[in-house]
Amino acid sequence: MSARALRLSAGLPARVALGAVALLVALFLVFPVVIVIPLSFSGSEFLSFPPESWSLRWYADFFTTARWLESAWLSIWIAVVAAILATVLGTAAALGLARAKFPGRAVVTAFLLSPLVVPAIIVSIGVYFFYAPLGLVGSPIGIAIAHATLASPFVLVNVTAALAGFDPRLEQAAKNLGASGWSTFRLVTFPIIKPGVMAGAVFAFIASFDEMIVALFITSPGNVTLPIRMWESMRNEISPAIAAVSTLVILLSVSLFFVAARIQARAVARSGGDR
Amino acid sequence: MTDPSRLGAPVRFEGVGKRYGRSWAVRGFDLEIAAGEFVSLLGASGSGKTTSLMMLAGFETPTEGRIAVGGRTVDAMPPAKRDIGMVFQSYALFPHMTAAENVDFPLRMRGRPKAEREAAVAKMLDIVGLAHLADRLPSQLSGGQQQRVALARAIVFEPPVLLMDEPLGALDKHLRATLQAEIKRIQARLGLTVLFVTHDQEEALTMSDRICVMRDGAILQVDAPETIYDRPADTYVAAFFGESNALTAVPEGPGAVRLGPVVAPWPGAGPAAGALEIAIRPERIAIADEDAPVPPAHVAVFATVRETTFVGDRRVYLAALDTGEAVQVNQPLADLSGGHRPGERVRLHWATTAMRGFVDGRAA
Ligand SMILES: Nc1ncnc2c1ncn2[C@@H]1O[C@H](COP(=O)(O)OP(=O)(O)OP(=O)(O)O)[C@@H](O)[C@H]1O
Ligand SMILES: [Mg+2]
Repeated sequence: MSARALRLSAGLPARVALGAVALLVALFLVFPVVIVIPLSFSGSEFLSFPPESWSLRWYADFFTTARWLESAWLSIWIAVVAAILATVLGTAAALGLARAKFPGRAVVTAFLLSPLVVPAIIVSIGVYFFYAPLGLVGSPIGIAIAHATLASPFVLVNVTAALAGFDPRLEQAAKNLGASGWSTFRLVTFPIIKPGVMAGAVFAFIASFDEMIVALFITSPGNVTLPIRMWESMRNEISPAIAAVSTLVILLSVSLFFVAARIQARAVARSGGDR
Repeated sequence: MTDPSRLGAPVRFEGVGKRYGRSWAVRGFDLEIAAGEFVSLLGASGSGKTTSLMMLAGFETPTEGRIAVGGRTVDAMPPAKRDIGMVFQSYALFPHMTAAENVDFPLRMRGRPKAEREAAVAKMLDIVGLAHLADRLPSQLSGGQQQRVALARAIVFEPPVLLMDEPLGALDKHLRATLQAEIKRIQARLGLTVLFVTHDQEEALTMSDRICVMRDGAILQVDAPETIYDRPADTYVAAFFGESNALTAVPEGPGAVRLGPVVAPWPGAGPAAGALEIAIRPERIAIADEDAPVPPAHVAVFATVRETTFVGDRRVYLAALDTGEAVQVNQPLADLSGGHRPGERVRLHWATTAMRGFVDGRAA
């Protein structure tokens, strides 16, 4: 609002200055991410900037090395399972919190969002001691469950936001027209809040896909996720391979964000953009 | 859609009340609606009309009393099982479904065969004049078109009871009249019981079998339109429907009241003492030259014309009685000649049967 007011009222010099500042901030934010991309096309054995020669050898290296591929597939599998679990739990929690009026709702909400603020290292220790007697340490499903708890707040936040713009009278109308509780959710509530759910699912996937600290605690030599593999690889040798893997990870994350944005844009277009 | 055996169900509210926090939105609501009857709820904003509908539809639980549909108490019945059609005040159309999909929804929920559903939806959209917009989303429809989709959706499954919360509020006059007639036709053909909320007294008068006037959560009067108009139970109802003049009278022995300088026969008992408020509709008062003869059984008073306005089919006079009280007279125009000018002395007269008396606001 104030930026808009500034744009409308300020003269040309002020607008140029504002644009320059905005550009600098944007560059500062994306620079660390963007710098690895040219590095990944390096032709040499060592990381140096700018690269002396160009090649795709480090990409070839990634796609032909079993350890990299195994880790990548494992991370994708864990992230998918974690995202599904987090989406179901986070959506259910958001619906419950939006509907029910009970004392202590704020406390329950804060509790459910706590994985966002509790340091990962503390969660990791807790998860380790909780998993040990259950035999979940070292299993991919164990990592997925732990990631689901970390990722569910992203779903909760997104679905809660979607529900804020949802008219509860639509559910009354559906029930009045004869729909059961489940039909009402499936045919009315869910299609309308779907963009929020999908955005939450994408965030949950990325949160799990990137996560290393908790995974490090409960990993086993046979189940090394991609972030852990990258970490280990960096400790052993600093080769442009790491830049190639990083670029691929960035590519995946960015495409997922675009998918989420597309879903949201389509939903807005379909509802006429007035809600 | 033409099965004549399916008729409306009777509805009965017994001492129903709804309390929010410490205030009652509806209190002591007693209303019996016969099968196939068209009853309008009329009242100012916040008088409890929507709350009453919501309790019948099952979205609000009465704090006290009970509600029965078709002779069966519905208090413990979930909304989806009540089979009551409802047009919400805000339409509540599903934004992700087309007009046709919205109308199809209740049929789909009832598991009707696809061919039957398609035919019913097409027919219903045709009735509300939206056949050409069947594939539009609600956001691509005007307010009035959305309202018609909501109406079609509430009627298409032929519910025995139909609730409508100001279903025609957003429509222009012409479309409003068309749909009023359409609603009446569908209601009559299917024999539906209808509970209809409106702000518009004329709409209530023309459409209803009976009108229920509400104020502050309570029922003031339930009666046929003619009775409501002609014999309002209190001054609030009298003022709500049409225009009315209020004159102060005092009892003058048995069977008579004094209105300023004149004594008028008064058929009712009248108050033992104190003032009586007399209400007379402006169209029941005749305006004549000062020396014109007065018909028998008429009360006549002298007055001075203050203002005159031509309103097409009638002339509206504002006149001052010699007591200082202002009186409005609506003179139907058989011909445009004549008319009285401001400042002119005139004689106003009306049949004694045109007077309604109120004591402390209640009909006497
Ligand atoms: N959920 C609620 N919580 C508290 N008070 C409410 C609630 N719903 C309605 N009320 C109150 O109950 C009273 C009746 O409301 P209701 O909606 O039935 O009025 P209405 O006659 O339908 O009015 P309108 O013509 O404006 O639609 C109002 O005073 C309103 O403020
Ligand atoms: Mg209302």
